[in-house]
Amino acid sequence: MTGTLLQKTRKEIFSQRGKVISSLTLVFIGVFCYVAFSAMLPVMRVSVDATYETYASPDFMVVAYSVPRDHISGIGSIDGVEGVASRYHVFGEVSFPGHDKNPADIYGIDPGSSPDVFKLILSEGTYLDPLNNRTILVERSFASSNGLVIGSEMTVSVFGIEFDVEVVGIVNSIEHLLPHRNPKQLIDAPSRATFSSIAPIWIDISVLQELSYTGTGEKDIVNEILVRFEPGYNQTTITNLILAEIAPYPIVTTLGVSDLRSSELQRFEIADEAIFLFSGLIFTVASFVVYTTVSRIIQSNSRAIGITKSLGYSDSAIQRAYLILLGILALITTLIAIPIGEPGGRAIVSEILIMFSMNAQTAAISPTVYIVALVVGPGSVLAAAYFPTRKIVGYEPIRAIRGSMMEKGYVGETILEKIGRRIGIRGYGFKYVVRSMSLNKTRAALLIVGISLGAGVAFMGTSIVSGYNTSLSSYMNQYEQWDLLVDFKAPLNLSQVESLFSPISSIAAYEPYLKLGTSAIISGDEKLVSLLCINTLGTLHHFKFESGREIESAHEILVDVTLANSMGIDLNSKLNLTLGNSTIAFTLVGIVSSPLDVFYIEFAEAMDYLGQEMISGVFVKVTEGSNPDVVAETVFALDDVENSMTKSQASSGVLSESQGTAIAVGMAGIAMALLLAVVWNIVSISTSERTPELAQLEALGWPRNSLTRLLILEVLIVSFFGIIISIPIGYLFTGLLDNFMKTYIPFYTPSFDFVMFLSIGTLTIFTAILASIPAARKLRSIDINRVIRERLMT
Amino acid sequence: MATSTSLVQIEDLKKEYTLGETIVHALRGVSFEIMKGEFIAILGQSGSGKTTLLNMISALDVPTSGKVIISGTDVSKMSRDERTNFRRKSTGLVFQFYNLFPTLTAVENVEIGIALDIKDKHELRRRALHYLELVGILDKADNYPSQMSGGEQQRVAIARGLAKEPPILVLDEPTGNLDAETSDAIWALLKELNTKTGTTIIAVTHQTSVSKVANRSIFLRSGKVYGISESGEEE
Repeated sequence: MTGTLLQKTRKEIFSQRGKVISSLTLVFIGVFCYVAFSAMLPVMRVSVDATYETYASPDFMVVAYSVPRDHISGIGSIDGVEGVASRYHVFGEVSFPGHDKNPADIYGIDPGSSPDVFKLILSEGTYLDPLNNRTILVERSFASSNGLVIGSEMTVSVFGIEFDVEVVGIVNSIEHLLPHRNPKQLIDAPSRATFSSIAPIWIDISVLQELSYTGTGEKDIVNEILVRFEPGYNQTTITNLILAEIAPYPIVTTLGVSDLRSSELQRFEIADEAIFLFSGLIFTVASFVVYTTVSRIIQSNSRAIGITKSLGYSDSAIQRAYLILLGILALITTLIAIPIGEPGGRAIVSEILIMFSMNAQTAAISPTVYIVALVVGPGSVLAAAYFPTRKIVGYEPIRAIRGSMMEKGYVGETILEKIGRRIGIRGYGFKYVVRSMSLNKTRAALLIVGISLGAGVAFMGTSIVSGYNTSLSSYMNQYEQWDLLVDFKAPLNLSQVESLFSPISSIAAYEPYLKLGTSAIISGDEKLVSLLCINTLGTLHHFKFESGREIESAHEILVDVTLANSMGIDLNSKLNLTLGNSTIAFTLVGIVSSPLDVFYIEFAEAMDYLGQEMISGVFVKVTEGSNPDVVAETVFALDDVENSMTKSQASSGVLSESQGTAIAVGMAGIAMALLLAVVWNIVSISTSERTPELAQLEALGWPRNSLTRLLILEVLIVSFFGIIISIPIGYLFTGLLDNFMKTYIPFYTPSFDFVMFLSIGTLTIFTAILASIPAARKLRSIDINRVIRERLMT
Repeated sequence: MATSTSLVQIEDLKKEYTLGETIVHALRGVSFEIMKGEFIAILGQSGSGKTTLLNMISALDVPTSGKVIISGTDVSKMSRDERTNFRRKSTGLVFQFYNLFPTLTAVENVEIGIALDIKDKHELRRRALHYLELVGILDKADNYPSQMSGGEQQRVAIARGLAKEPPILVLDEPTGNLDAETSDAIWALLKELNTKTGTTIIAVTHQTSVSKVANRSIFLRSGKVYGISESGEEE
């Protein structure tokens, strides 16, 4: 291949400089995103591990109903235990200027210093004052986002009692890395994020102990025990010893924090898949744009190509020249994007980690990432450019030299016209637009696909958010028939519950439950599991079965689908559960979708094995005409009650409104940006191709506004089809992310909301029209004479 | 057939273009008058300025100086949009390369020239078919340009120009892309239309034989009129 041919080809390519640059920009964005995200994840993994070390995160956590502290003093002496901390954790509310009754995670700790495990690192001020138990510590990011400083005054409300406190310290904590709920409670509390509405505060433990004391039993109690292990010890042995120290006090659940860490890392792996999906989407869009740009280059230089062929250059030589130059441009673009993407990704992840009180560590990016980027970047361009350059084969030199159109004119009425005629559309604009689209079906198809991809991604984002929030309320309405959910501070027996509720006339019925942590042997391995003992055939709570059936006889057990998947168990699996002093073999007969990652057994059967009645909470049905909120307040005021929640409170969205809005807006924004790039590129090319026709129309007397309306009409028609196709595309994308979403909500189902669909459709049309404005503006300055003289019509 | 009513008045028309650093004087002060119903041929070699002159008459372009008065209206001072409007109502245009829309049939190509002004779809179709019949190509009404010969396409372009029933039909080298026999047929058609409809026809061509059918021929050289001859006379 001669240098002259390459030089000529280079000029031909750069005759469409703007479109080439826009195409390469999309390639740049694709490579940048891929490399940046790939740089972020290793840093996140390493940083999370480092953070766990810095804050002395627990390896094991026990949540109990209440345990006297002197009863568990022996835990620190167990071989293999590096550190122990205990605290009293309750849900309450705080009020401060601008925020009335803000939900709060309230941790009761010893004043004076940080706990040994799950440290609190002072950012400002001091630790809790041992001489003044009306001081509190506030988490740093919550403090900064709510304007709280040292000396700020707040009102704490817990167990129905209010008291004033003063902020003496602002701390860094990684409490948010634990499950976002009070595991004592049956239903998740509203989701918590660093900037969310739930305040993490620390207070002198004696305050909570004093307020919760009912006059019997020990006063110095805790309900959370956090243990850190020394390396090299058998963790199962240690946990068994710890549980033995706590016995006979019942526990709610246990948490292996290393399991939590691995589930966080599992989310990162799912995010890895999302990276490929997202980057792949950008490369797909870039390929569309490259295809149309190269098509335009070839078409506009058809005469030059015809002359080149007539001079004796082969088709393959001409094609190779195009591909070599385009490949070089793409390679240069990729080589620029890679060294920008990596530090860019690290910078982004550093900012994200700071938001979660973590410091970014250094982590190497896998060399595979660079190789993939170097292959996919130029490769996608070459693949997209190959097909339009192949058209050179069909160019006849004589026709090309004369400037005759290479594309065959369409003959015959199009399907769209037939449909239009049948439904009464007779307007000339419609006919003209659909005929022109038929002339270049590929371009029209690319435009439609580009729009549908953009709208589909936006639709997916809003569908996910909508489904996320409605899935829970939909589940609750269908399967939970109670009005109130009541948790007790400590397990009660039936007569205690009866005497508690009998004076309240607005309670029509109630069903008891017990939440209990216990050990189980599953497939030969001993695991700590959470058990929910309920009346499985009761009227106030029903199950949504994924597979299997209800409990029909003794020794049968149900499990939540998320837990089943993580443990690798299925129907008919055997589990040996320890209840009381017995170990009983249970058979798994049903797998259910539920808000909790627990096993379910029959309440009566559990009481038999435990040898006593233990009721940690009840489902309550109020009488006809009663207001559940009022009844909830009445119940909450009872001494033994820790929390009383109505069904609507329990059904509130898992995502806060601002989080949901941010996700939906973010995804829609990205989607519209891609759509804008595609539509701008293709409409610009389309307008350039049709300039002779448009000039002819103006010569015939069509005003420029009418020409602009033709352009807008084409965009509207194409957008309409794109939006229709975007529905299945949106659902396809949503389905691809299903597994990811179901790690948060097992019963998650994407929802179709007509208003949302209309909103996305409107936004899509608006964006498409916006993208066609540059082309429309060019219409206003066509040189009619020049264009008509250079005729390209027939 | 000429009448005494003046339709087009060209007064000291000048047009200059800048090509790089060179100023091209395409028209150097052209003046003449065209009467209603006349068939005028504008002749000249390449670069004589005939196409530029045609652009002024058809309001596609504006002069550097001078006036173009058509039906009493000075189009040389109009804005782009005003000229577009004027063109739609008052001028039929036919170009050398027919400039038909390849995706439209013959009848649709005629309709698109008048679609903005005639909203009644039946009237639109009736008029388009009428003028296709007038130019002798009614049987090709539903054919696409790729299914017609050059002469047939040019007839469609002429029908499109006539369909708006303009006072002036302007043709730029209408037979430039046709063989001799077809060219003669087109000129004969134009003469017939001029006689039948009374439309004033102004045709730019380099074919001197056109002067036989035209009422008058205006000869241009180097941007100036160097001769005007009556029908049948050749310069």
